[in-house]
Amino acid sequence: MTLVPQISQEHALGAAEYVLGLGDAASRRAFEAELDTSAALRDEVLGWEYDLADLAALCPARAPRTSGVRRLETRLFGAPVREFDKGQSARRVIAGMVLAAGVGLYLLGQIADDTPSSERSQPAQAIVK
Amino acid sequence: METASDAEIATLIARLAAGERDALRPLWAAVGAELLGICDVILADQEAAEAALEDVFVKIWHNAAGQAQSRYAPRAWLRSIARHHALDLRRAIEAEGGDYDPDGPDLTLPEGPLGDALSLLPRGHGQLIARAYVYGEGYDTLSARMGLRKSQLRPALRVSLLRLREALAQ
Repeated sequence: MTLVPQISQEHALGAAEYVLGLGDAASRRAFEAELDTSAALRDEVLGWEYDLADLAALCPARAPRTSGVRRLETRLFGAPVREFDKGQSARRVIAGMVLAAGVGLYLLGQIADDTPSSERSQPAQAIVK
Repeated sequence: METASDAEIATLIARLAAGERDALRPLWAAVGAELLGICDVILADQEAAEAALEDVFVKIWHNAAGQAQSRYAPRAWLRSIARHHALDLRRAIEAEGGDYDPDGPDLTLPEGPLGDALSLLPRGHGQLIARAYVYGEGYDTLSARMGLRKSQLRPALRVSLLRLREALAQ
């Protein structure tokens, strides 16, 4: 069985040249116009991006200033994300713990109310009091 | 500098896609230095690179949902956003007559299948492809570097790109 190529060799090369930025502005614009209409071409571009991505490791990493992330958050959300807000999940955990403690105390109170006072253990009586 | 795994990065991107603002700082901590390094090399201006990095993260925030559903590696996606944004900025600077010296040093090709495939390409084409990727050098710059006309270099480099594609597909 012969597999029909999804994309021509010319288009595959065009995708490589686009990802590498080899062409001039006019050729990039022409290729981008084709990209808008071809899912196969977009896939080819992504394939080249993926294949060549290890070359980015040749760029020496440099830690950004910490003020950068605060500026970024202000730009995106109107203000830096506060430490307290850093976990919606953390808030959910705390709320869950408070709720669980409340339910626990309520159930303990119910058990204590249902138990004749003579049968109550001393600790339970102490909690109810 | 600790390197985050692809799985950790994918998780953070998925959290951004779900609108979790508090996933932004961990992602910044995980890949900010790597992405800033890309912007540094392409823009050759640390202040401009820091500003570009913020733009890159804005794009990441707005496009996280699309990547979260993609089959492509998250690190490659992040690198491509940083690289293309920095290249766009540099082209804009050059179009306004700004100065940029792309004459970076020769590159040591990376270890692994890509580096191996590039090193097997003839006439130093592996180095040219790496320079195009890392420094953003186009046909005009590369052909001047090689002492060739663009009409000579382009067909030859395209043959090498096909060879590279075949080698990476194996």
